[in-house]
Amino acid sequence: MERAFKKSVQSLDAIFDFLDEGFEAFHVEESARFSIRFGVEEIFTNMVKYNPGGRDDVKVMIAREGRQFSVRLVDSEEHPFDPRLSKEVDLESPIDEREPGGLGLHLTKEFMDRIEYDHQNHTGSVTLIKYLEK
Amino acid sequence: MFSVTFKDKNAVALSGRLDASQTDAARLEFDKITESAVMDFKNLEYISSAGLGILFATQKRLKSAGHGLKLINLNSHIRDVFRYARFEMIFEIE
Repeated sequence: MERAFKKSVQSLDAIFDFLDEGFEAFHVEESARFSIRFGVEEIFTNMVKYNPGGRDDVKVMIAREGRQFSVRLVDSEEHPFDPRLSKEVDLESPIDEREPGGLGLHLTKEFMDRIEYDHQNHTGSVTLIKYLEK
Repeated sequence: MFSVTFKDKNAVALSGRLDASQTDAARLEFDKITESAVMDFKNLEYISSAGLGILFATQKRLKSAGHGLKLINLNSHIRDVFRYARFEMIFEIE
């Protein structure tokens, strides 16, 4: 399944609807859906915030192979940004010293079983992978 | 759809999905909280890191004035988010 979405946070409702279609089509268990929504929102909003140039849409592809469910987000990208290499987040400081920045990618790494990244021909793609129980 | 309902000035209920498209609306509502309050997550289905950021800023503002939020009725997924973010150290969660 594949669809393109305008690069705006206002696309999130439509993206969640598309994910729901994918969850139903590929029989994704309820317990995995929250994590996948979380990861997709994080990667998509990063593309909106940090890569506003280039094409104005992001392609989202959903697939399942055996127990491996994947969502791939593809964006035009001049400068590679590998989300797997995002800096460590300070999780231990008291509230007055702590900043929430970077938390989204940290949590995405916690929620997903694997993240793949590829950059070529001015195009970046991030693939979020979740292993399903059945 | 995301909404905030004030039962009174110390009791707030959230419902729906607090994602990045809802942060402006959430910030407007949370800015109305000026003292310690209980925030009920019973009908909140989903929160993203953008939502966490708004909650964090609200808690930071309240704490600096000697107040704070108590969060109740978190579903298991949202509880995981708070645990992975170590937000149990920042909020009172019941």
